[in-house]
Amino acid sequence: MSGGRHHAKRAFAWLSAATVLFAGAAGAAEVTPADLNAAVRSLGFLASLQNRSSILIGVIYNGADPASRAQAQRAAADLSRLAGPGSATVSALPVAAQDLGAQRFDAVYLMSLPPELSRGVGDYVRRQSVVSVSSDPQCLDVQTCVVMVQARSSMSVVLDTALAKAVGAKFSTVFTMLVKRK
Amino acid sequence: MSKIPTLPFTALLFLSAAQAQSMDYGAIEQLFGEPATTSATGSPQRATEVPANLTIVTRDDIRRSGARDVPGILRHVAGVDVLEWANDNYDVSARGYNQAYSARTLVLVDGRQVYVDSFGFTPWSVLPVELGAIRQIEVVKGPNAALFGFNAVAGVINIITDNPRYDDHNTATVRVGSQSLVDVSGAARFGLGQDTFLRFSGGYRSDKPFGTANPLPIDGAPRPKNDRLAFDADAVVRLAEDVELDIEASHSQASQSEVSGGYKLQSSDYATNSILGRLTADTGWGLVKLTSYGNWFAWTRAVGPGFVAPRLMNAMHVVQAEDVFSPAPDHTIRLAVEYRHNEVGPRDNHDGWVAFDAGSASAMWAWQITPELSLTSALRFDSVSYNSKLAAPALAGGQPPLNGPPMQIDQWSFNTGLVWSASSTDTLRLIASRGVQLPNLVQVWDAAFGQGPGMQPLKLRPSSVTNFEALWNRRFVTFDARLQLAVFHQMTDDVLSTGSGTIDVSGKPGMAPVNVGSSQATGIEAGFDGRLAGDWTWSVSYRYEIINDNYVRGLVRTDLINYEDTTPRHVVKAGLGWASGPWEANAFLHFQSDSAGLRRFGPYRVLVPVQPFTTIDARLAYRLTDQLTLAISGRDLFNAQQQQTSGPDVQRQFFASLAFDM
Repeated sequence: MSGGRHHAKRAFAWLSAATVLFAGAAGAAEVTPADLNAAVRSLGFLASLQNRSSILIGVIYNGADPASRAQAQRAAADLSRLAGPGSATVSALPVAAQDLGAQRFDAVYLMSLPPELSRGVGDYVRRQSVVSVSSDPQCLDVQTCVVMVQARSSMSVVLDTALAKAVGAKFSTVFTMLVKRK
Repeated sequence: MSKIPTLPFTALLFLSAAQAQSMDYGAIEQLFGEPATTSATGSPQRATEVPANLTIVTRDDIRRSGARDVPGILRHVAGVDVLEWANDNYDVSARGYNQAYSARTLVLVDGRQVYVDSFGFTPWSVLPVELGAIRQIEVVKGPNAALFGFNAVAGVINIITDNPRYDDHNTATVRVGSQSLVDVSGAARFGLGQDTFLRFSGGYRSDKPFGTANPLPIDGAPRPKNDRLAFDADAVVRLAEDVELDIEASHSQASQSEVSGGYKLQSSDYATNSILGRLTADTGWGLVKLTSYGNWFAWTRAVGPGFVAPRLMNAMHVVQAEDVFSPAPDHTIRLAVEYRHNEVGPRDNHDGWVAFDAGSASAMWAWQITPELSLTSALRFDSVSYNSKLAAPALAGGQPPLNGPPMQIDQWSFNTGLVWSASSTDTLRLIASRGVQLPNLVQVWDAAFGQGPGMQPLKLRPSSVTNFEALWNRRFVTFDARLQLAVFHQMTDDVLSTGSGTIDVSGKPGMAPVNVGSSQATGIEAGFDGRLAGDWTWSVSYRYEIINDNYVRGLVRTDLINYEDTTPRHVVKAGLGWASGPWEANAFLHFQSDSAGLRRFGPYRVLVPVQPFTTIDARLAYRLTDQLTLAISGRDLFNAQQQQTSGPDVQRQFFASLAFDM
C-alpha cells in the first residue's frame, strides 16, 4: 500500500517536472513567421504608424542566452522581409534586454524573456513610449507588451489597454473591438 | 409629402477624434486569417466569434462558384433557399418560407437596404452590384431585426463591396453563354491624392427567357429578351485624420420575364436610383457613424397595345446615427437611432398614395464575461405610422382623394446570444431572437381600399418571428476541417393572408390582406467542410426542417399563402474544389426532397407538387496570366430542363468568361 503511494508520489513528481519543463519549452517556443507577420499586421492599426514610408522595429532578447540571441537574429531578418503598414519598409534590429538604454524604435518585438528582465523591459517601454508586441502570452502577466499576438491554430490577439494608454498608443477603434482586451 | 432629409455631416466635423476608420476588411482578414463582419451586432467582430448563425462568402468563394449573379452564389450556401423561377428571376430566403416575391429576408448592399418595401421583396436583377466588386457576402440566418430593423426575420444578406480607400482592386469580365447570354461588367478604382478614392462599377447583361413551357397564366405581353444595366459610383474622402466621408450613387434598370407575387408570368420593367452619404469618425467616445440615403424604385409591366400598363413608384429616405463604444475592456455598446419615410404613389392608375414614417431606437451590449464566455444582447423599438390618400378609381369617379384609414405599429425586436468557447476547437452558441415583418405598402394599400376611407384604424398586425437556436462549431485541426451543427425552432405569429406583390383585385371583398394565423418551424442544419492535401476543398451540408402552418380557415382566403408544403424537408448541398497551378475546378451539388409550389388557377392558388430534384453547377478555370483568367461554367447541368418550382422548368445553362483582375 505504502509502496503504491510512493510510486504514485514519484509519478506525480515526474509528471509535475515534465509539465513545468513542457510549459517552459512552450513559453520559449520558436517565434514563427506567422507570429511576426501578425505582429506587423497589428501595427498597421496603430495611429502613429499610418502614412509612414519606413518603420524600425527593435527585437529584444535575453543577452545572457545564446539561443535567444539566435532567435532574435532570425526574427529580425524575417521582420525585415515583411511589408509594413501601408507597404512601409520594415527594418529590424536585435537588441539585448540588458543593453536597453536610449535607443529609439517605432515598435519593439519582445522575444520570450526571463522574469528578471521584465521589469527593465517594462520600464524601457514606458519610458520611450514605444509599442511592444510579443507572441509570448507571459508578457501580458508581467505587463511588458502592449499587444500579444500568437498565431497558432487560431489567431490570438490581446491588447493591454492600460499599457497602451501608458505609452500613448492609439489603435483604431475597429481594431480594439476585434481583439481581446485586458 | 416626400421628405428628403439633409445630411447633418457638418455636426461631426466638430468631434475630437483619434483616427479615421471605416472597416478595412482586407487588413483585418490578413491579421486574423478569417473574415470580419459588423452584420451580427453592428460592432466589428471576427466571423468565428459572432453571437449569430453567420456564413461569410468570400471573394474566392464568389470567383470559384462560377455564378454570374448573386442568387447563383447564394444557392450554394447552406441553409439558404433559392427559387429559380425564370432566367434571371429568383427569390431567396433562409430556412425555407420562400415564395414568389419573397419577403422575409432583408437584403442590403454595404448596409443600404435594397429590399423594396412596396412589394416586400428583393429585385435581384436590379441590384447595382457587379460580382467582381464584391468583397464578401454576409448571410445571417434567423431574425436580426434588433440591428437592421423590420423585415430581417428569416435572415439578413449584407453584400459588402470593395472599399475604394482600402481595396485597390480593378476588374473586368466578359461572359457569353446559352440563352444568348452577353454579360459585361467591370469595376475600377482611382486615388486622387492621398485622401480621395473613387470606384466606378457597371455592367450590362442581355439574355433570353427560358424556352420551356409555361404552366402559369400570363399577365400582359411577354418580351423575348431580358436586359439589365447598372452603374455605381462610390467616393471615399478622408476629411481629416479621423473623419471619413463616403458618397455613393447608383442607377439600375432591368426588363425581364418573371413570376409575379400573384403567380403569373409577366414581363416587368424595373428602375432604381439611390444616393447615400455616410460619415464615419473614430472619436474619443467611440466609432460614430451618420448615414443618410434615398432609394427610388419604379416598376411597370409590359402590356399589349391599347392597354394601360400598371405601374408603381416607391421612394424611401433613411437617416441613421450610431455610436459603437467600449466603456470598459470587456464591454462594447452600440446605440443607434433611425428615421425612415417610405412611400408608394402613384400605383397603377390610382392617384393616391400610402406611406409610413418610422422612428427607431436600438441598443446593443456585448459583455465578455470571461475569456471563454460572452453575452450579447440587443433591443430595438420601432414605431411606424401609416397614412394614405385613397383616390379614383377605387372611389366613385370625380370624388377628391380621401384620407385612408391610419395604422400605428409599435414593436420590440431583440437578439441575444451566449457564446462559449468550450475549448480551442469547440464553440457553443445559444441564440434567441425576435423580429418583425411589416405588412408591405401594397398590402396596406389593398387593406385600406378593402376597408375604405375614414379614420377607423386598419386592423392589420405585423408578423413576428421568434427564433431559438443552439449552434455548435468544432474545428478538426488535424483534418483541417470544420463542423457546424444547429438546431432551431421558429415561431411566426400573425401570418398575413397574402404574399408579396399585387393581388387579384384591390378592394374586392375578401381580398384585403388580414392576419390568418401562425406558422412554426423546427429543424436541424449540419455543415462540414475542409481542405485536403492543400489542393482540394470540400463541403457538405444537410438541413431537415418541418413547418406547420396553423391558419384560421373559413372566414378569409387562406389559399394565397403556404409555407409548410412549399418548404422541402430535406436539403443537401455539397461542394468539391481543386486548384493546382493555373487550374481551378469546382462542382456544387444540390438535392432537395419533394415539396410543392403555388400556382394560380383562376382567382385561386392551388398547390402543385414539385418532385425531388438534384442539380449540379460546375466551373473550370485556367489562369492565362496573373491578371487574366478564362473559365467555363454551367448551371443545372444534370438535365436539359428540370422542374424546380411551380413555374416554368429551368434550363441547363453554360457560360464562358474572360476575367481581368488586378
